[in-house]
Amino acid sequence: MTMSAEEKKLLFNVNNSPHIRDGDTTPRIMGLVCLALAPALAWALLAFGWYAIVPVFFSVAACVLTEWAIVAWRGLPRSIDDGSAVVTGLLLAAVCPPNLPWWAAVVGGVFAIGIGKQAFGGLGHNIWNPALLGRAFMQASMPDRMMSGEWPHLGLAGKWWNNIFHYLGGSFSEIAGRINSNPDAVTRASMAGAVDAASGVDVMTGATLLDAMHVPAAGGIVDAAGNVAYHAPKALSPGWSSILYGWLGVEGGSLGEVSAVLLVIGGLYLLRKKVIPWDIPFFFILVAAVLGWAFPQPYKIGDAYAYTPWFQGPWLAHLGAGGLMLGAFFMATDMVTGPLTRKGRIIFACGCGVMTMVIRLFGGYPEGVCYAILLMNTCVPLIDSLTRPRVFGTGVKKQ
Amino acid sequence: MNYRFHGGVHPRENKDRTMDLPLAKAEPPPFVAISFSQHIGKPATPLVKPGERILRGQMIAEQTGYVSAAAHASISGIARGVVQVRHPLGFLVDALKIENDGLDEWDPAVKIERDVDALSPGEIRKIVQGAGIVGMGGATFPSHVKLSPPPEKKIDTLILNGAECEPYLTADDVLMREFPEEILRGAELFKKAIGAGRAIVGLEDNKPRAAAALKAAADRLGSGIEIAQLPVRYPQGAEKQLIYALLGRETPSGGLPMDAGVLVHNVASAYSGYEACAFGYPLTERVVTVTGPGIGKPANLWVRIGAMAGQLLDQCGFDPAATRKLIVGGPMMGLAMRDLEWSVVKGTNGILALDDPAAYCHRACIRCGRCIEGCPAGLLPCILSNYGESDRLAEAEEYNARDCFECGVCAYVCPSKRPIVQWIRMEKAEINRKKQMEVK
Repeated sequence: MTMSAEEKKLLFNVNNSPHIRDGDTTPRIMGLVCLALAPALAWALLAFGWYAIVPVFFSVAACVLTEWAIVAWRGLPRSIDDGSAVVTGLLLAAVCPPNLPWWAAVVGGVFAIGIGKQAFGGLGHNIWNPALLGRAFMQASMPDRMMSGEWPHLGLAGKWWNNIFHYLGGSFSEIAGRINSNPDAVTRASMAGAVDAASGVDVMTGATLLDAMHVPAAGGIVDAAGNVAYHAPKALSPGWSSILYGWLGVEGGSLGEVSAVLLVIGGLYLLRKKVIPWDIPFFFILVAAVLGWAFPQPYKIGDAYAYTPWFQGPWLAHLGAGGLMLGAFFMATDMVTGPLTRKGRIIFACGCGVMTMVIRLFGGYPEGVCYAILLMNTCVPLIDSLTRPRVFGTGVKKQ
Repeated sequence: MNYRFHGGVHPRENKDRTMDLPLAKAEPPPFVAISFSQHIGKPATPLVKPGERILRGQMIAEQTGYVSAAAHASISGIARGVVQVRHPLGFLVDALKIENDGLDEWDPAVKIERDVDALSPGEIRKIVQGAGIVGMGGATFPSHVKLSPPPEKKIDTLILNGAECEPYLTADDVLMREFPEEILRGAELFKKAIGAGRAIVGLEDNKPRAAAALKAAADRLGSGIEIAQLPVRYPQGAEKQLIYALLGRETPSGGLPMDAGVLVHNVASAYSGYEACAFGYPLTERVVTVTGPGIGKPANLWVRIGAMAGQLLDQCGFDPAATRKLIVGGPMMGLAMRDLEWSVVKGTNGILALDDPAAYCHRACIRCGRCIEGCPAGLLPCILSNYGESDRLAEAEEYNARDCFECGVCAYVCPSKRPIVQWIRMEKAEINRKKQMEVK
């Protein structure tokens, strides 16, 4: 049985078991996330107009180039083909206003990848969701650019929606006026009317649904002794039609956040493809809905404010407004910055829901999803260490 | 009532090419190379000189110490001396080469018919030991050692493992279908040897005909052996998972099944045990599934121990050009062979010619948690793989690396294609090496 040199040569591959692998790959997961995000982003282009492509394009380009450059500089194998930088770019664009200048998108993208991800060691090692960290950075460094909630430039789609709302017994202008609590309510309504008439107005800015539900705390009355005697209510209960607008995305807001319905559709697609676990969106949304329903919130009667009773809050408006659906389905489900086990994910998601509503109802910002998720990202190592699964066979006595 | 063990996966079964085939006999090999290391434990000590005429069933190597097993000639012929063949684990081991004289003449000394019902537990153990029977599911632990638990361990249940949860393999399935009575009689003998009151055959429910055959045989024999069908889920056949699935008992971490009052034997070992006790036949042949995309004529074959892989594969329409990986065992835990210079051993339940990507380029862990959901041992494989990568042994030990039994589910499900189980294997080896150093 002596072997000749020819026979001795390696015939077959001898890498380790398992010799079969599941077909799912990291690039496929990232690709599916992009696909699931596509309808909501497409809606943004339809609703806001072509210029909404500017933040999307520059954010993605900045993220991918930053990823490529830093990985090349560190001398590591190329990582842009795993698709994670594209996902970060799209998610960052989704939480930016549609009229963001291109350079601001580039700044956000470079920060998100450079500091948010690569500074920690690249994919899999970052603590905070890079897109949300990018947004937080932009919010802190260019708040005026980030807060300019823009109303959809509706065009044809607006006419179509308007017809539907006429059929439902309202009109876009009426509804826009109805939900508006600000002194410029008349202006808002007339501007919306201008869109109705398709009179050539290209860009409209104004308060978003969450802004409308949120009255600055500075409205308090201070008595002679310097004590705050009266707190102006912080939020306003919106009517059903504005809730519907919020869900459908005929609403001012960040680029990819406006259409809650399309985000839910994308999220359900990811659930079906088993890319994201059901527990995070479920508990995040559930907790936010319960708190939005339970806590008293202000609404306007004439010129006065009144509070809704306990357990009658506008929970449906809270779910459809702002970034909640984007946060619950696309941001909090980021695997890298989330807990490892189901128990941990449930704690994490409940924490996200609580923090979001605490910021929305009692905080200084109208929207809390971004900071809620970043805050809970920070807690992930702690959650992981507290939710280690029981190892099979431990805690059992030998016979 | 069955229980659901934690984790697991359901890979594509790929059993359809061989599951309906009857059990056939492999062509007689022109020569065999019978390894002295076919079991866990010390290699057997050779008893035969070159040039000697050997009869089938003749002991050619005796066991060395207690944890070891004898080897027997699987054909009759002339001993051609000790050669080296490759062990599935990769290293070369000594083997006796016997040239086949084509007569297949049994050694009259071993062929003894016995009344199995009259055998005492001690006699059963002795016969099993003499027949060189080992765990035939692949682990190859000497069966007589398992049948001799320390007296303080009370074993109430014998479990026969017919789960065959690895994809592709159908060797146990076809054996259970065609020899259900022999398997159950073997179970009765093992049960008697350990003094257990209960015996269960556990198999996955993708083998309905095997289950039916076993149930019919149990009725015929009037034996109280239970036949339990379990859902298809890898690693259903891992013994601690099988015990949990059938009895809801957890084997303690670091312990053996006997610590949970259970003994687990493979169905093929029970078959061989019966053949040895009833007819005196030592273990000289076994069922091997030969299949995979590189095999033109897949088959379930009776193969003589020591038959060379090349000769066996040639009968099955082996196409080396269509084969990138040659696996001994199943695709989840089997071992990849570099060439054809190795012979069938007692634990060889399958040979797979797979057309697989050469290597998976792995990426960073994205913490998706799929390995945690899949891990039947309840570990955090992704964390352990990171510790392996960064050589942090103390943490790996603290995270129970030693409870891993290397089923490979973690690496199977990993979307970043990380060789997680391999890192854990290396950690375990390193932790054990350090422990041994401490003892010294």
